[in-house]
Amino acid sequence: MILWIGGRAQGKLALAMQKWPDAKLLDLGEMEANGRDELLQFLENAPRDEWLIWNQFHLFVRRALSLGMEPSEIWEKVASFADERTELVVICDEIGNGIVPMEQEERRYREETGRMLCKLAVKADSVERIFCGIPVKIK
Amino acid sequence: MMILIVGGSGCGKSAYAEKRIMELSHGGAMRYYLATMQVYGEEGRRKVQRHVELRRNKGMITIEQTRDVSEALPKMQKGSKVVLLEDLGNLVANEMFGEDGTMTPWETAADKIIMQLRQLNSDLDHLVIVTNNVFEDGIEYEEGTRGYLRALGKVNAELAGDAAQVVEVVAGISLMVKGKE
Repeated sequence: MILWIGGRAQGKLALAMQKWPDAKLLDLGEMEANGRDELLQFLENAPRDEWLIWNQFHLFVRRALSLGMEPSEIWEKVASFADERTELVVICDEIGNGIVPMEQEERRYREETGRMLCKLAVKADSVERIFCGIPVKIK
Repeated sequence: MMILIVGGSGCGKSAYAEKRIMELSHGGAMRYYLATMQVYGEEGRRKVQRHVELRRNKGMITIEQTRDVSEALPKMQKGSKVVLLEDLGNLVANEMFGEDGTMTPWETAADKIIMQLRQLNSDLDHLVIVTNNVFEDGIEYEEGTRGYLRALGKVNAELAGDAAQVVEVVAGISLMVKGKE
């Protein structure tokens, strides 16, 4: 598994699609799941035996939290998803480098996304940070 | 030696800082944890108590110092000591925004913190400081928060100048910005 992180609109997806032109795209942020089960069904249905780009990972975490899933359960799903695949690129926005929000929900979203990234980075074969469209390898 | 550790929410900076402080105290120095967070409510208190105990099991003594960090020194034993201070984001907020609603000008608060931390560092074997990257959300805040951002930015930059090492933590990965590990 490959993990890419970086600020918004830094060209992460464009670069990934250039690098893996035949990859399938998974974007749970855009799929607007109606509930927890539907969200998990999207994960379940994602292809297994070809390159897969999981875009906007942060929005998946946001959605899962807002549907009442606990971080431990979200991580369990993410971990087994990653374990089942080798040809996987996870792309996530850096969302933690701002003033800590007053709203508990917003704080939790940033914090838990960050923690999830730490764990994904441990699993990942490589981690790159995309800055102005340029990948910088940090693992 | 001073080490400055920078990162965003949930980036793994605390775990990394703890790892460094354990390494730095191998020679038998006393380990202190300077907690700058203001604790509110019963739930917050309970959470903090749990963390205090977790650290005690690692041989770390917690000193709660939400402001005036130089006052922490007399609370420590004489002899070799290493200190992990967490974090500057809270310290700057506490120095700038009084509980009674008063506000200290950002530069006054920043200069005070810089001076006190330099003083504290000179009395320690090692000082590991955790600080926050809160500068990259593109939001135009009102004046108070803008001042806060300037204050924390100044403290970070000045201390980074002093520090032997500056480390950014991203997704649990430490990146040396200054110095060698």
